Amino acid sequence: MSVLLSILFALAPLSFAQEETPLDLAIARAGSHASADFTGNGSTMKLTYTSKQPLHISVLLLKSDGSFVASETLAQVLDAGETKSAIIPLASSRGWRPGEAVYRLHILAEKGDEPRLLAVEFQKTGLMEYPKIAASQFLRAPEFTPSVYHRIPSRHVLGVSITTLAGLLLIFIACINRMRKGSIAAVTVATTLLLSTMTSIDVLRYSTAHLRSWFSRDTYGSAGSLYAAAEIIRSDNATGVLLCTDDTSYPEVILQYALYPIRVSDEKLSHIVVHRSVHSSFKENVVQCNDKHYPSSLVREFPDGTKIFRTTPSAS
Amino acid sequence: MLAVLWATGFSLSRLMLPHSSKLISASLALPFAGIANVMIVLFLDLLSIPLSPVAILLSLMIICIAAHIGAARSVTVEDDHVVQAYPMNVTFRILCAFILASALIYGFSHAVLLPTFHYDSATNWNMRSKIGFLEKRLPFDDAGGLIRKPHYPPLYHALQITAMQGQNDWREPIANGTHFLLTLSAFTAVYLIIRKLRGGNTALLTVALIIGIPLLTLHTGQSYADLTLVQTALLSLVFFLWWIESGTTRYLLLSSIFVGGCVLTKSEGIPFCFLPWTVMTLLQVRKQRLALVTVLRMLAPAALLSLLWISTVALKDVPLSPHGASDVLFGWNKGALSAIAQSLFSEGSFGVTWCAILLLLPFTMGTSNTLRVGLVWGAAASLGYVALYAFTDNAVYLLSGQSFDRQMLLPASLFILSIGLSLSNLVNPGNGN
Repeated sequence: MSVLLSILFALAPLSFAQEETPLDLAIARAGSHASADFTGNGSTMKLTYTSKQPLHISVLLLKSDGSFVASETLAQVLDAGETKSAIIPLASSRGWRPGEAVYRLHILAEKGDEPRLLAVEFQKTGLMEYPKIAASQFLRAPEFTPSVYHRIPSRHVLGVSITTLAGLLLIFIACINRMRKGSIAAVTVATTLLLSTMTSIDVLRYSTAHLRSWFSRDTYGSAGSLYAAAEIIRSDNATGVLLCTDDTSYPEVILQYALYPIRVSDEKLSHIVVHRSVHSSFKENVVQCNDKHYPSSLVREFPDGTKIFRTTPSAS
Repeated sequence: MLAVLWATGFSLSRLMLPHSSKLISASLALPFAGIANVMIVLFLDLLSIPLSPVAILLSLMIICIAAHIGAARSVTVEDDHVVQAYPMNVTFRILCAFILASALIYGFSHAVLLPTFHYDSATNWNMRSKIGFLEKRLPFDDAGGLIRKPHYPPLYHALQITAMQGQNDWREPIANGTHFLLTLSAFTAVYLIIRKLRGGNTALLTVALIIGIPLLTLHTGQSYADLTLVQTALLSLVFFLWWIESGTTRYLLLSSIFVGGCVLTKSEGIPFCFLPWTVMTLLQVRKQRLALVTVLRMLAPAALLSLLWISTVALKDVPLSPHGASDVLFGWNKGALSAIAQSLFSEGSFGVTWCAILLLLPFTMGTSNTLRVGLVWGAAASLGYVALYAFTDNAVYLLSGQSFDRQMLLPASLFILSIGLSLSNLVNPGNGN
């Protein structure tokens, strides 16, 4: 099944989204943005386009009610060129399932570009591809987020929850072995241990990733460089810290915990932390956060884009 | 200060369990210390004495010395009775060992090497401890909006405050590392006691099945008190089962102490630990026809520790329940039951744990009275939580995926402990049943 479409972009000057930036922040930062929904059936999406600059693409898998799961979003940067083709591997999303689905395509471009999307085509999944897709989905660990202590999302393979599948299998085995308690118990325990082993492998992967990023880049998952920033601020005789962010309340909570007894507030202001902020800038030694301006000097910038500023006396 | 805590706990352990091996006593040191410590901190706070190193150290030393003297006077003939272990498939043993080793690595790396990560830790748990340590008090106020739930029972916080004494500043590795050691100790104790009851293979399998619950594995990274509650409840239940099988009422006393510890750990300690435990105990006591005086003596620690917390809450004028009025606003919540089913059987927090529990329960109930009685607590807690989320305004936390899964770790773990003791004679290569 294929869909033909042309899209023209209005252009505006701004910087581009960084890797791992949440989609809403990336859209807010982009020079221009367009989106459209496509319905199709296939494990890959072929885009034919023309663009003078690289294009940032995000593909959201929409549910029947129009919502989507952020961790199932695909992001890709397409090379610039004339009548170029790019393949978006839809099945690499943890939420992909066989059958017709609605995909929302977000395209982000820079100022000066007039990209054209010439065609969107869904490519059918070959029968031999299904095992490979299933394996790659199975091997993906759930995302480690601040909310993972509340609930761990299930692994889905070809749209089916592994947990549900394993549970149904257990019940089936129990039914066919109903007189043999030992067999049922052994299979039940074995299945439970195997699924627990999957979690064990996941936590080892989390440990490796978190320790590596912490010790090499001073970042830790969603907390980014906030702890490293707090340590520098505390040693810099801070009296009050302003957090400039467009993220959720999570960065503020973590920063406040790390800084206490120094308060995150604009009272007795001595430092500013800019973290995942769209509506901020730093020009001519002035930090602009939303609609307020603070004369400041840059103290440190971290690999994840977090910046610490020290306010000059007139800002306090 | 950690050493003083441990020494105090060890002395208490030797006093309470003179016939147990030093290994069991050592593993119970921190769990006992946690309960003694929270009582100290509560009393100091109620007497308006600042939580200074001197005050806490002095209090711990008094308890440590008194317990040591008491333990020294007891006749200590070590019970070195060995239970013949049920055989277990090598593959199962390897999987169990892998699960435990992974949890150990993950727990150590996230509790000791990495800082606090999760949202509620920075607003409820570690934040309250940090403020308490720096201000030398146990906060029951919101500290200017920094503590979201200042009315929670303080065993978790008290342990961190005490462990930090002597430090100039808050240290993440000490704060979370203390609870990591507590978890290690508690599960080691559970393992050693099950080993005495059923042998090493059963102990390994049971502990691995509990720690292998996916969400519980993640909680070994510490900074939430759900795991603290689970491990304290497991200690209570394992002593309860040890009492039934051995007839030694001292173990019931210990079970009582640890269920009191649950009340001092989280708000659900009263409705989902103390009450079911009391029912479970009374059912068994009735069968054994124990003297009333004995029964009251055994129930006393649980009752007194619960009363201590209720009195504190009354004096401080804070709510007893975690969510206030929403805990008692009854009504049918459409969609709650399907959300509960999805959480237990379809999402990733439990894997196939609940499915396995339901499949294995009939076998456990057919094996022995000991294990049947032990299921009462898990059953009461499960039904209680399901009712709480299906029939009160707490449904909002279920539908938003917030607290339900964490709270169901308690009954899941309790069920696995009871079922685990009966598994070994089922999961046996030679068993033709």
